Order: sequence, then C-alpha cells, then structure tokens
Amino acid sequence: MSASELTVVGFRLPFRHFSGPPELKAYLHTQISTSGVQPEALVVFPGLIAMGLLPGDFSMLPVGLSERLRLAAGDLEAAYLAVGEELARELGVYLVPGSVWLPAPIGYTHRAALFGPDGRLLGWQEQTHAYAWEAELIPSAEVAVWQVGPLRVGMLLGADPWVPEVARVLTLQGADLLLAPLAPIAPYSATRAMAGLWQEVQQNQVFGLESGLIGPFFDLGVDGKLAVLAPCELTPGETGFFGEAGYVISQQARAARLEPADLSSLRVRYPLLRHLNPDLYRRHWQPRVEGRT
Amino acid sequence: MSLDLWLMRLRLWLASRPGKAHRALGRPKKGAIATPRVGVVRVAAVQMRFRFMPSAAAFARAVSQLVQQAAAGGAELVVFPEDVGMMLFGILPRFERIAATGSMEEALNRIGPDLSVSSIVELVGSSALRIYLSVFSRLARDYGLLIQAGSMPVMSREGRVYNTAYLFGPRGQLMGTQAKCHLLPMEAGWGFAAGDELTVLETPIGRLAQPVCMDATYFETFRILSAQGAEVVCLPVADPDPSGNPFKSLRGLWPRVQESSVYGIQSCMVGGALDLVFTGRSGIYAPMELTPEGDGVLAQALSDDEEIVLADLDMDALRAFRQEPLIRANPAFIRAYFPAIYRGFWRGGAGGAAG
Repeated sequence: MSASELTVVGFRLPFRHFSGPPELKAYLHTQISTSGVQPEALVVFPGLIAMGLLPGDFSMLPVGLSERLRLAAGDLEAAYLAVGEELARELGVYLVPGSVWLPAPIGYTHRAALFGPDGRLLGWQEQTHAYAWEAELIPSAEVAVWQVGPLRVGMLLGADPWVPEVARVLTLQGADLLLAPLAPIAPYSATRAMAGLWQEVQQNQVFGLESGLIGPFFDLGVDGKLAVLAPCELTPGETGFFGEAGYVISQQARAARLEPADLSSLRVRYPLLRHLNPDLYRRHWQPRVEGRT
Repeated sequence: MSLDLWLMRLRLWLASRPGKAHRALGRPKKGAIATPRVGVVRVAAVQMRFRFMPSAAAFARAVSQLVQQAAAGGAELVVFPEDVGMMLFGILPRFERIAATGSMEEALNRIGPDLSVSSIVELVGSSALRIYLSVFSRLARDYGLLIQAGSMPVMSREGRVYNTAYLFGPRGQLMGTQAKCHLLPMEAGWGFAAGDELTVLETPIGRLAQPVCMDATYFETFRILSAQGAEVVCLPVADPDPSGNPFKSLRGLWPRVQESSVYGIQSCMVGGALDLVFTGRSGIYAPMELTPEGDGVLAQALSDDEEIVLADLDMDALRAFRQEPLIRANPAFIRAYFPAIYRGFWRGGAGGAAG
C-alpha cells in the first residue's frame, strides 16, 4: 500500500459474550487475519462489541444502566484498552476496537478509542448526542480529528451520524474520513441508514465507514449494517457505495482503498463547501450562543 | 444605454402589460375538490417542462393549465419549479432562434458582445418579472390557492442578481420572497449573488418556507428554518445534472426533511434548453415516522415529464411528532462550535481545508 492511499476494513458481526480479554482479542484477531488485512490498514469493529466482556446477566440487574455499569463493568476500560493496544501493535494496523459504555460520576458515557499501528492510543471519541431513550447518557461537547496515514479521521457514535452538525464540525476541522462503529437498535431499516452516515459523506464530501453489530444484545436486538462510502461521484455507478449499491447485510467484512487525491480533485471540481454561507449561519447561531434566544 | 437597448426594453415593457397575460387566462375552471379532513392539507408539486415562452399569453396559458390540474385535485398549496420565470426570457425578440444555438455561451454571444446571464436579467428582467408576478397573483386569486411560484432571477436595486422565490396567498397577495442562499457553482459563474436571510411565512395552512434548490444541499438551511418554526418547506428545483442518478437525487430535500422534522415539497423542472438538461423527480416528503411505508416519501412523480404530484400533509401529526424528538439537542456542543467553526470559510475567503 502506498502512502497516498489508505485501506479501510469494516465488519458486521454478531454480539457475543467473552470469558475475558484474551478471548475477545483472539476473536478480533481471527476476524482481521481471515480478512487479509495488511499492515497500516485502518480496521473498525462494530460499536459496543467489547461489551461482550460483561457478564451475561448484566441486563438483569434491577437498577438503571449507569448503576449496572458501576456494579458490573469492573475494569472494562482497562480491558478494552489492553485488547486494542495489543491487537493494533501485533498486526501493525490502525484500529478502532468497537466502542464501550463506561460509568461516569453521574450517568455513563459511550466512547471509542483509536490506536496507531505501534499500539499507541491516538485518542478517544465520545458520543455527543443522545437518543431520547438514552436518559442516563452524558453526551460530550467535543469532537476530535486524527491523522491516519494520508487521511484525517473523525468518529461518530450512537445517534451522531443523524445529527448533521457533528459531521460538519469534523469536516471543517479537516476530517476526510468519518468512522461510525454502530450498534443500532432493531429495526434499523436501509432507509434510516441512508439518512445517516451516507448523507454526511455526501454533504461534506468525505469518505465514510460504517461497521455494525447484529443479533441479541443483552435484552435488546441490534441490527447493524456495513458500508464503505464516498461521494457519489467517486464510486462505481455513482451510488456512494464501494462495492455493490446499498448497505451490506450479507457479509462480515468489507474493505476498500481510499485515495485522498480523489477527494481533493472532487472538491476542486465541485466545491460544495466553498458555497457555505457563514454570514447567514452567524446571524442564526450567534444569538443562541450568546443566550439571546 | 444605447438607443437600440432602450428601444428593446420599451418593446419588452409594452409586451409585459398584465392585460395580455390576463386575457389568456380566461375564467378559472374549478374542479370537484375533495376536501381533506380537518388538520390535513392537500398540496401539489408541479413537475414542469422547461421551454422559453415567446409571449406573456403563452406563459399564462402554460402555467394556468398546471394550476387548474392541481386545483382539480384538491390542492390548497401548489408549488412550481425553480427558474419558472426564466422561461420568460423567451420574450426577447428573436430569442427562439438564439436559443437554438448549442450552449449558453454561444447564445449570449449572439445577443451581444461581453454579455453574461446577469446582463440578460438586466435587459429583460423587469418586464419578465411584471408578467410573472401578474400571472401567478391572478391565478392564486382566481383559484383561492397558495401558490409557491417557483423562482426567477431578479436584479436588485444595487444591481445584484438573486434567484428569488415568490409565495402568493389565496387573495392574490404576495406573501413573501426568498433569495437563494447557496448557489450552484454555475450560478456563481453567471454572476448571481447569494441571499443571506431565511424567512418563514405564516399562512392559512401553517408556517411555510421557500428556499431554492441548492439550499437543500446544506443542512444549515433547514436547521435555521426549523428553528424559526417552519412546518412545510417548498423547494423549487432545476437540477442541471444530466445523469438523473437516483442516488444523487437523495442528497437534497429528503434527508433535510428527516434531519429537521418538516414536510418537504420538491417541484422539479424537467427537459432543458441550450446546453442545460434538467433532471429530477418531484416529490412530497415527510419524516419517516409519518409515512405509511416508513420511507419518508408521501408521493413522488412517476415520470420524467410534466406531472402533478399530490399528497395530504397531516399538520397535527407533524406538530405532535416534533414535541418528542428522537434525538436530544446538545446546547453545549452548539455553543462550543457554532458559528465559529465556519471561520476560514467566509465567502470569498480561502475556502478552508476542503476547498
């Protein structure tokens, strides 16, 4: 792989329980190995897959989610970090090992980590917008962008792909690729998926990768999907999808090579962001920020 | 101004006298209107074929036929496509012959040296606007409808050209205008200017907004309108993408309706002129949760030709839906980034990292 491109790999995997960090690591290792992933690639596992480290009766505890996490999560954060660090270093890949819910002083947070190919933690991203039913989630007010090979990368968790402000902020901070490790509650229709990351990729002229968790998830059902996305103009048949058109529901892994030069060329040919209208937005947002409306 | 140009403007002004168009309209033919139930509004998206109109009467006849069809279907609001008013450029003498040339550039060269689209707006605009306003006002009054009259390029007193949308009330009154706030690169090349204000209008059927075409490519438009209380967003469209790609067509109004919980009515221009080919299917959209198939679509055009698309908007259902949003707002996130995040992307600036 040349430095002028980045191979990305996403997964659509069933939720399952693990006896401990070694089993989780072995499971993820097998997924990467059987997918033929090369060093320096970026690998993104589905959201909340590491929650399989919690005991199977986690959802039976008769308290709220944040209290359950405080009681049962133990050192989930340390286990998640150790698995991610070792796996990324051993395989020499950039890695997002899914995401985790972690207890906070009040409520809980939803976070995902990004590791470099030397196993170094590049940073965390927290979910910034909560679904109505995520009453105890403490949303973050901050998003970050990291350099991953030739691309700058940002992450969207939980409801964030459906909140266009988040992807816009990441793009204007320089992101070229948006990652969405998700565990969407079923039913998660193809229509709803098209209104999420696919739209953010189109309206910001960036690449996108969505990985999804499926199957029973404690007492819920999750129905994740898989896709590697780009602006329509950069994909075969102008669908916005690498591979066949539409979100993947039939296979476990999908890889694509992303070339930053393609994005740059499109942004010159069709400069969407150059026609943003900041004077208009400022008039709307400034009074709200200053508390005048 | 040369004598020739002055004489041409005089001829155009005389040709735009309202009486000429009104005589062509005749008496309104009202159909058997099926009244929707209380709290429900029937709306129509007009898909119209572009052609240059040689006279006020030709324009009046073409538009009134479509309004009549929509009224016969029971519509209380009728939405026309973007650039409807540009069809009136055809009132320029010998324009039909000029328009037969290949490209916009060639056509402009045949009219005169160093002419731009903005120059044509300056030359023909006031006469074309007079016809456009009088025809739509009269039709709205005759049929007792709200008419979103698509858009037309209009030159301001300061000499700037704005692609402007117009809404007429059921007494024929002009209820409001809206300048397009996000230009196509092609329009920027023509010398058009972008508006910097978005307006929501109180109407008998609810709070309406009328951004134009490319405005729906930017989520900001709909966030601002929704925050101002917009419930129904009319979107006149003339998409010059010859591919007609169905995936690309999902990048406009449909996702904006999902993000901002409004009803959306998209009226597309089809056909074309010069080297422009307009594609797209008109449609009426709602938040997924308010559509029978869960796909966010209430109705959509079945063809690429002229067509009236009708659907009923349940305003009570929308208002109830907006009371309980699926995703909670995060004011701290907004305060942290907006509007400062756009710094570096000011118009005329460097265009930022993505430019």
